[in-house]
Amino acid sequence: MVSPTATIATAVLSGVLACSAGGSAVSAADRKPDVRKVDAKKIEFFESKIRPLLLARCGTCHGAKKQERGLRVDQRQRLFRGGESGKAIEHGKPGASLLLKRVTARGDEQMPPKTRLKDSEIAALRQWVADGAVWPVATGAESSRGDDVDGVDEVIAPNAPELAKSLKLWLRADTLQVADGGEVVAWPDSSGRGHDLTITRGVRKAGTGTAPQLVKKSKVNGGPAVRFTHGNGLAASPDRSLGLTGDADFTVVLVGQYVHDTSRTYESILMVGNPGPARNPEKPLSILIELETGPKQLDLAGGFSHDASMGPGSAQVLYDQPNILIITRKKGPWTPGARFWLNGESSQQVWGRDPVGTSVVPDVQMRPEHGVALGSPQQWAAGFQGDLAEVIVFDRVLTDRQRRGLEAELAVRHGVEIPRMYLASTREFTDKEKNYWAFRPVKSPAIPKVADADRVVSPIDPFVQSRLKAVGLEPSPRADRLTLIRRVTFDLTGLPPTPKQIDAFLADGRSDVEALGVVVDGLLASPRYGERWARHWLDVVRYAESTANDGNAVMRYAWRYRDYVIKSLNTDKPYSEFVIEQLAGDLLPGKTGQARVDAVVATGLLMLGPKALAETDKEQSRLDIVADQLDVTGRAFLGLTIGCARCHDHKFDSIPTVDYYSLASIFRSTEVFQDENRNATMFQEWNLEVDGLKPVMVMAPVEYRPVTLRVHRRGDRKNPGVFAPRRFLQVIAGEGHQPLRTRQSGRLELARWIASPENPLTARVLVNRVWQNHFGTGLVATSDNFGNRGELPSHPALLDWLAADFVENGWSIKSLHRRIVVSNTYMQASRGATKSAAAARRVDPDNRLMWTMPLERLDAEALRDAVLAVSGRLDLTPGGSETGEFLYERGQVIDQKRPTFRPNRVRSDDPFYSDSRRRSVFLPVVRNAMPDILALFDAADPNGIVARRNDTTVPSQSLFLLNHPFVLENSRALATRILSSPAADETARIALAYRLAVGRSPRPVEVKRVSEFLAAEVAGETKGTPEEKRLVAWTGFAQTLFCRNEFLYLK
Amino acid sequence: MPANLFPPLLHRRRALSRIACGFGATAAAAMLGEESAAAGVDPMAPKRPHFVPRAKRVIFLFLHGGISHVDTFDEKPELNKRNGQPVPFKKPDFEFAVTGNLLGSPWKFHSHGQSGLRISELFPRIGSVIDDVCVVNSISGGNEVSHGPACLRLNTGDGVLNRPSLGAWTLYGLGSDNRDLPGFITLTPSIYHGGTQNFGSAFLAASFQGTSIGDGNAEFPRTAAVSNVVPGRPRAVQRRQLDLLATANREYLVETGADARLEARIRAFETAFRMQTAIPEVFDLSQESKETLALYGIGGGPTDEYGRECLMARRLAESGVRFIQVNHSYPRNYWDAHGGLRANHSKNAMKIDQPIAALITDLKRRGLFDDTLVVLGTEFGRTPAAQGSDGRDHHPHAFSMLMAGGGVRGGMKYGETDEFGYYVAKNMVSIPDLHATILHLLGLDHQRLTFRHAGRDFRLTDVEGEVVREILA
Repeated sequence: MVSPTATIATAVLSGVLACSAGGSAVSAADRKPDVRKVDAKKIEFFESKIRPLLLARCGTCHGAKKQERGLRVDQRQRLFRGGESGKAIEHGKPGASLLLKRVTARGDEQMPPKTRLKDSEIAALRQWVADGAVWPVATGAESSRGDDVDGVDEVIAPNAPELAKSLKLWLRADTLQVADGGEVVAWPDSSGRGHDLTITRGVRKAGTGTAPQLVKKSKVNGGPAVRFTHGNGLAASPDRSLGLTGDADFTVVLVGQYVHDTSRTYESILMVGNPGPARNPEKPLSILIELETGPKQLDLAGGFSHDASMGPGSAQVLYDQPNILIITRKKGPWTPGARFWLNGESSQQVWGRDPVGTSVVPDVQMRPEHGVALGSPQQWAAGFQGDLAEVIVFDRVLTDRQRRGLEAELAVRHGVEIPRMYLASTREFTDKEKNYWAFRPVKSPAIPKVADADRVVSPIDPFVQSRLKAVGLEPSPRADRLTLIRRVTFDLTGLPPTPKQIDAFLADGRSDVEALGVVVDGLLASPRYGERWARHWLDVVRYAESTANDGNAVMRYAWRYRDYVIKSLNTDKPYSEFVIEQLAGDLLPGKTGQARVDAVVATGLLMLGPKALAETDKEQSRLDIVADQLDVTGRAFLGLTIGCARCHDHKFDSIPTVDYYSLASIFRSTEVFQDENRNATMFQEWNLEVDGLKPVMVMAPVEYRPVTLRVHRRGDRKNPGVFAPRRFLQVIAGEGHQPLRTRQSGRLELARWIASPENPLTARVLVNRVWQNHFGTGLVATSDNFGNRGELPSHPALLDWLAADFVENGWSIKSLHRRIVVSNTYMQASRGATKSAAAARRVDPDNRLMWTMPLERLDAEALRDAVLAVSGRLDLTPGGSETGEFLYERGQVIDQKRPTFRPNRVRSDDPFYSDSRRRSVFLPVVRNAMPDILALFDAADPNGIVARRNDTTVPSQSLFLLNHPFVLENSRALATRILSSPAADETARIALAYRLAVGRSPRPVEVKRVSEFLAAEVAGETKGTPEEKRLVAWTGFAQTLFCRNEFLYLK
Repeated sequence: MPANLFPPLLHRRRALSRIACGFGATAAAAMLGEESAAAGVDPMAPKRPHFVPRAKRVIFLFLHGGISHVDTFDEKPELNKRNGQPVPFKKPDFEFAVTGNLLGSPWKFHSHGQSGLRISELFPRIGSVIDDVCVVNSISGGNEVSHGPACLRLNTGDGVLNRPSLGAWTLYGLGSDNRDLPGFITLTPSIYHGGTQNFGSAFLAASFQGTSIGDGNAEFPRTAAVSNVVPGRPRAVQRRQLDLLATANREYLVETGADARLEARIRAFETAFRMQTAIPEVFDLSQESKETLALYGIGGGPTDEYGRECLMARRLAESGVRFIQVNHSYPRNYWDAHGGLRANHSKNAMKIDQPIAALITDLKRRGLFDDTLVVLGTEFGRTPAAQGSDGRDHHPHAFSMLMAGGGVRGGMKYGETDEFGYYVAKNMVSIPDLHATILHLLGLDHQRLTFRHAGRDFRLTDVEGEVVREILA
């Protein structure tokens, strides 16, 4: 229906159009000359007051250049239509117009946000809208053709203004103040009409029925519901009629899931009126919603064989999954007036069973003892079995728009899938997008043929060498054995080789390749390997043991995750399993004993991020945690910056915003806090009980319930867009990828999708990470971004060959190391100042083609560990709870009621850090208080994902090496170690120091120089006995060894 | 063309960042020719701003906990008049705690200077220099109602995510003028409410992060509390060690071939050696005259500590430190007056009023005021409505800050709140606007100061920020 206002406006506008066209009077104007006259004034008002006002005060953000939130005020239609927040103007109703609401609002909603409109300006706008918001239609440029604001299902709550009047009953299980498993003796009506349902006590006059039970984690997607079994019944008083008597219009909505029980023929769910054996076959006397268990069909029964039914088999879906069932009925004959909607879809057909044809008009008659009832309010009423989460009754037929809006509301609230809602979330991609290099399937390419077979050790070599040859370059010669053993030992274990290991390798009579192979096998078998490579992974997953931000609360059990990573690497757990366990280990079936513990601990990945415990907007805080989980999932496993799509479609990659929210829906279905409403109560730390083992405290998320988020337009959750069903990235998952139907969160499905050999990214990203950590730079230099903004692979074929080989070898990371390390490419020398190097540098300055082995700085952990190892003080005790307990003990108890919530109190210069002799990976990792010793040398900042560390050279590092007690003490320890060694003379002692620190023997000139230094020190200003002076002198020399570039850099 | 193998990214800042990040350092240096040779490999080398700067350095006076605007710099007669009455409009959606009715200010406001700006009796000394100060009354901190996110938003632009701090961005953009001192120094920062993230460098190179001197837990140290700056051995011994080291490092360099990192590291040891002297020197307040010490209120009493910090800030500014943050912070100094507003603000104001006025006076007489931007800020204001009988809650929706010196107009007020100080009524200055303006005064265009990280160009102001031109001198 067209409103009177709109009619006038149309007339007015067409009149104006005629005028502005300058033609003679045309019909509209002829018919309403008075309107036209009035209008001239309004136009004048618009042109003089409103248009300039809109342009000046709103136009900067809502004009031709920018259209914040899709609103544009310089075009008539665009303003009338409004922006993402909705229609801007209700013609003639300033009070209802968003435009006026915004300019008069205070605080966040005020527009313009910075400087409030003057009262006179607001008054002008109000008058303009009240007068019908006249804006003459112009011709040419201004005549508008704007982009459509995306069409979205409205979400309409049962008590929305437009429905409130006809809402007669609204039962919500989530409002019940009953303990889990407790009896529901009364189910209060949330419609505000007082139709509370009770068992026999209370408002009812008579009847029977035992109390159903409240189930907090019901079959309705794990949300609260009232569980009925036969005999349970609730009913309201007959005195307060729902108004559904006589020939009534109605809409009944049931959200629930039912149990198929063949012991009964009929099972009654809801009844209004008199379904009993009233001896009047002429008219249906009740509204009865029941299940017919035989044919498995749902009926709307009118009593005494008057049935409208969804037809045989229709109930199966009611037994199989949670449902939103909506039944509407229009006045008039029973069967043709009824319609059924199951999860948003109209049932194919309504089957009629009226014994006397379709012309019977019902006459619903209220029973004397009760009104609307559920289950078995009378002994003779069959009752039903199942979970009801929500029951709504309206006394009229909802319009399609209203019904759809209501379905959307319920679907979101109960996690029920309504396929229609997701249509808008499906995206199509161009061939170019789909064929983006990193999204194409991995196919193992043929190994190129190269002429010089001598230089081929591993299949990776021909790939490298053919690229070099193409630009006229040669690989560098092989490095000497000393360089090789230092390189590979640091690389695989993060520690220097001992003189004994060096000697054995130098003396090995086998070929370089064979000898290296033996060494590599030994190193990979050492527990030190996992300790080293775990640190690389911990960088990527922002591992830390405190929450950062406001509380910086200690995460007491995070260390278990660290130890899990070390163990997984040491046991060469297939990477696919490693991935699945970290995302969904808790959901993996068939895990028992320690394997179950490990799998649950692995999900600590999802807990490790920074958390804002003091955030007052709890839902926002959860969404921020989801953002962190998505970021780590995207960048660590897939090499994609999915987080970019939180506020808008990804600007560079084919990730629409809806995909972000689809993944976010999966993670939002998982809970990281113990209490939904109180973050600071604590994140999830709980006692994991596994058969055969002692209970273990773990930090791991738990399943929540399936959640379907809506797109938050511009990242603002108060501005919802289309529904985002749980599913994967559409551009990769391909056409036909359906939303997840699982009753779990969907993490397991996501994890399996990521860890599948068919996923084009997972293996590529991992082999590239491993490559990066061996060579300093990945084949894809941006190792956490394989998207368009990342760099292209330097050797695409090699990347694919490695990825395919990796999957073929059972996702074995150790095999991958062997492929890479025992290769000619890895064994190349670091070419210094030679002529050929200069030439190569001109062609390929960044060494992307790998014509040499780059000089690599030890990372912070390797530096610290090497100092300890060389000084002979390194403690190789593996893992354990030391860090967690240390942080926890030192943490501040701020609330005796919450003793486990402890803000960190360990500082970056805590003596613990310099006193500890354990490997650096076992030092506490506290956000915002990283130990100086590691932070100075660019250790990963655990506030974010670090795909590749910085490599800075700054004087504060030198100050540390010159003056920090850690360095001074270890220098002294090294000096003591050398002086107490059996070395025969000073020359031998100097040689030993060199061999320990840099692996090689000193040149004679170096021995001479060091001798002179020592002599000068002994003769110098130090006081004490000769022994003391000697020790001081040697300490001074030892310290210079730790400071040397040769100590810090590896060839 | 061999260069086409992997198209080099010649955008200067990007190239520098690559150097800072250390990959392909030599190669990049070779590619860049003379410009990079001048810049060296040190990320802290001075860099040219985008345009002529008005300020060369920043002194950011941070008052932690949230200083009340309606009791200090934003006079609200209507609030006093309606003391005890309900707030006549909707309170914000985001509030930290429950508040009651309007609470008039217990302090009187007076006009000061030629400009006649009115500020409260809490700050008579600041009043005496008000003609040099721009009072911004329309700061909006968004919805960050908790200390942590609000501190992070003020200091890094984002309340939740890990982002580089304002000081780090400044160093990234401009480098440092004094290579023997850290370029970004923060005095007694709190280790809470974001802690080191408030002066961190996030994904920028670690060398851009602030060096903290002391923290909010203890009194401002009287010696140079810079890590590792006290020589571990006598200087003469260190000298011999460094000579031995330098010889070895030069030999190694011959072996490896030219490598910018190795060369930089040889220089870094020499710089470190000098820093051991330079830092204690700058921290030695005994070199200051009695008159100066008295000006700052140093020598006991409530003004002693913040006085020493402000004087230190001047000395650091003088020595070429780019960004100096002087914190009045938790737990020892805390403006978070949920209750006991009168006592809290009186006591705290007493501590800082004289030192801040002295800093402005001192900078002026030494000719440093014109190119030093002084900002007095807080993470949020406090509610015009009462919390309890004598308290105010957190209020990010409208509050005040002061700006002075380096290119800012003195003796002016900018922006207005409504009659109660609840919301911004005119000329809102958001935190990104504030950041954009500070960078602008330093000669940096906030839209051009970007860093590529995780596939995206990040800026301090993200997608927001407008320079507040009206306050520029």
